[in-house]
Amino acid sequence: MSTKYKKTLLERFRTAALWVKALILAGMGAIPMLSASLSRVYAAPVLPNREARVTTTQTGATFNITFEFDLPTGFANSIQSMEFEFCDQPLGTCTTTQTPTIPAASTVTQNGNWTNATAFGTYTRTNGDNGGTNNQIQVSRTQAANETTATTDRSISFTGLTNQSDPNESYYPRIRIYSDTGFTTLVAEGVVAQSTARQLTVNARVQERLDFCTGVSAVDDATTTLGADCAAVTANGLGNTIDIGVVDASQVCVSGPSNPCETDNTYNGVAMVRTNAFNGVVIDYFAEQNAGSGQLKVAGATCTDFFTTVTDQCFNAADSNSDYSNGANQQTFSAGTERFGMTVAGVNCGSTSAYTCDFSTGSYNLVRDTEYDGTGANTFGTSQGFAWDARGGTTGVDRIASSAGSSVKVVEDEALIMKFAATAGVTTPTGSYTVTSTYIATATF
Amino acid sequence: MLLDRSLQVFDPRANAVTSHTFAFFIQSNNLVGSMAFEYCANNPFFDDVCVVPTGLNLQSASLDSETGETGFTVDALNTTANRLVITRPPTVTNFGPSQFVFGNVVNPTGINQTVYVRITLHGSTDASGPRTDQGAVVFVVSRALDTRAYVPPHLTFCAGITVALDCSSATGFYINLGELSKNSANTGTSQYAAATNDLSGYTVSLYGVTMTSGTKTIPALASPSASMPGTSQFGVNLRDNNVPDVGTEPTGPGTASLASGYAVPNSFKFTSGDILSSANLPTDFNRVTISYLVNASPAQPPGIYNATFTFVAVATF
Repeated sequence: MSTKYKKTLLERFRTAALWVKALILAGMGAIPMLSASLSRVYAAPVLPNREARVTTTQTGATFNITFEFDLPTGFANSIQSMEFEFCDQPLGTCTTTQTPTIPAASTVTQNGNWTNATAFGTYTRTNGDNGGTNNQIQVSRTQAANETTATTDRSISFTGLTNQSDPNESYYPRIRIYSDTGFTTLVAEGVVAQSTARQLTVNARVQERLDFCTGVSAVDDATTTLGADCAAVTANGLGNTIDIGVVDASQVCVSGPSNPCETDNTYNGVAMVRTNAFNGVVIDYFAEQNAGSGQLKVAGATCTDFFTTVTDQCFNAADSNSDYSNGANQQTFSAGTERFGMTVAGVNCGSTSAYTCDFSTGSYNLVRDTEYDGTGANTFGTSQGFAWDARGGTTGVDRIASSAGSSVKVVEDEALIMKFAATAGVTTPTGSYTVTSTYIATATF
Repeated sequence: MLLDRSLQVFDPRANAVTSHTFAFFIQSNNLVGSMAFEYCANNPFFDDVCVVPTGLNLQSASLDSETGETGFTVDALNTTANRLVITRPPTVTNFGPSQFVFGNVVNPTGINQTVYVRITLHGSTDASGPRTDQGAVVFVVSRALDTRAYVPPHLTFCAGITVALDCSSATGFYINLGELSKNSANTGTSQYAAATNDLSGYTVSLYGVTMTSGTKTIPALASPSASMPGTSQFGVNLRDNNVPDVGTEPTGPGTASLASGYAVPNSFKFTSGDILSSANLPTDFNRVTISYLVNASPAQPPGIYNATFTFVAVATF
């Protein structure tokens, strides 16, 4: 904060002088006292381009103040001491109801625009020359060489002042420059102004936000938009069923438009999320249990185990360890070796506009779990294989994506494109197989 | 403000009876005697009217576990369909994480609905009066994805002089047993392979008529019998024989078994329509070698004797 006094204050002085002249003509008896008053106002040349800058005007706050000024035209004196008297008024008797508290000690710094770089190393707090208690800063140095007008914008700063407690109250530091070290020979002076101010508080409510949806879509890449948001995904009329098609031992069937095993329902699964959660969002899933298992199975059939039996009406789940000892681990499929699983082929950024989202360059916030990362790189596909946790319950809830580890954790409509795959063995019993999976988004605010 | 706050709904489907896990970090030391979890369909703002999510019911909810701040029980008196209150003797909270797992929560019925939960901490024991701390979380009632596939029925069967184990090839259909002799047996072989995904497995049967020349026949062995050169006989078996030296053992990963009448080495028989082998479960491929035995007596009328056989594989889906 700074307030410059140039012509305005001088104009006021001139105005005051005109009124005094009029009084002189009107009442000769008042002349001596008024003359003395005028002489006191103009006891020394006025500092031009003077200002006071503060670090805060908040009531009750501690602040630093910087005084900056030029020297009067023709100035050729040393400056060995200065006074800064803080008053409620710019002139006359000094009262201190609105002035800041001056510290007993302060850090004094000056800029490089002084003709002589000698620091004003002596800081003293005193009572004001015109009134007040501990409202005046005195600094001095031993430097007899002249300061000149060759440089401008001299400044000196003080730390540790404290604003008084009322807002919108003005105060006036009166600056006096002395050529001697004893605050005796006044060579320049000036008054600046400052004020406390009421702080403005801006309130806004941003509510916690989480939009999450699952569905199916014909989108088969990371760039084509799925729609503006979740409302578009759930309203696309395609339902929530992914059909892998007619599965036999001759090939691996993978859902989506390129699935050779299905001609009608050529869709991928989609999970889209939007959140402003500061700590991010995680997406988990679990397989709904049917007759005690979450495998792709004939409804009602009893499954012998998760990974081994190929003669029951249950597809073996994809887990490279075949034991869930480390959760569901991704594995590639071989045609004829009975397996079922899922992977996230890519993170679709087609509906994201609030920030740069580009799957191919790795610029996205929703990161796939390693076991459900289709390619292990920022490429769309399923070359790394599939995984499936068929256990259900709290044990079988598996994570497929998270933004909690990203540098930017909020997410705008990034969507996981999920592909489901199956291959039958020679002995996989005939039948219609189904499994239902539920997806959970948990945001941490 | 409660920090690092989240709500994990175990099963977020509409109308599910499930558990809700709340986690948050308390960053104050205040006297807390109760907490309230108010579910609202409209927004998370604490001083706004709360619109009750349709179908939600917290009145049977249970506090299944608590960590961090503990000693709470469900305040049934002050718990409503959408506001769950837990209570304890007022205790000063500690800086740190807390977690509360509530079971038996009935989710709202609106699919894709966003639900806000306003969490408030109070010095009172009934969640009334001033809040000492607060924070909101959000969850979404989502729908599940259904995945389906169809596995068609298959019975893969092939027969020939030689066949590949997986029926990828089958060659030959004619066996020439040569000139019959009273001094030694005449033999030949053919093969078949089969696999099925029929839950009941499959059977393979052999149909045909014994070696015939016009009206003259070589008698078929009605029961398993050894080879007797000089005695007119016709029969088959499915094993590796050494008297005479003909045939090989069945091969393949399948679980098919041989019919008892044709499963004894060096014993031969033939009855048209007999089952040669079968499996009673879905089975991978087995390849079976059929050994054909013909002996002729000195009195066997001369002629060209032949026989045509048909293999029939059956699965019941």
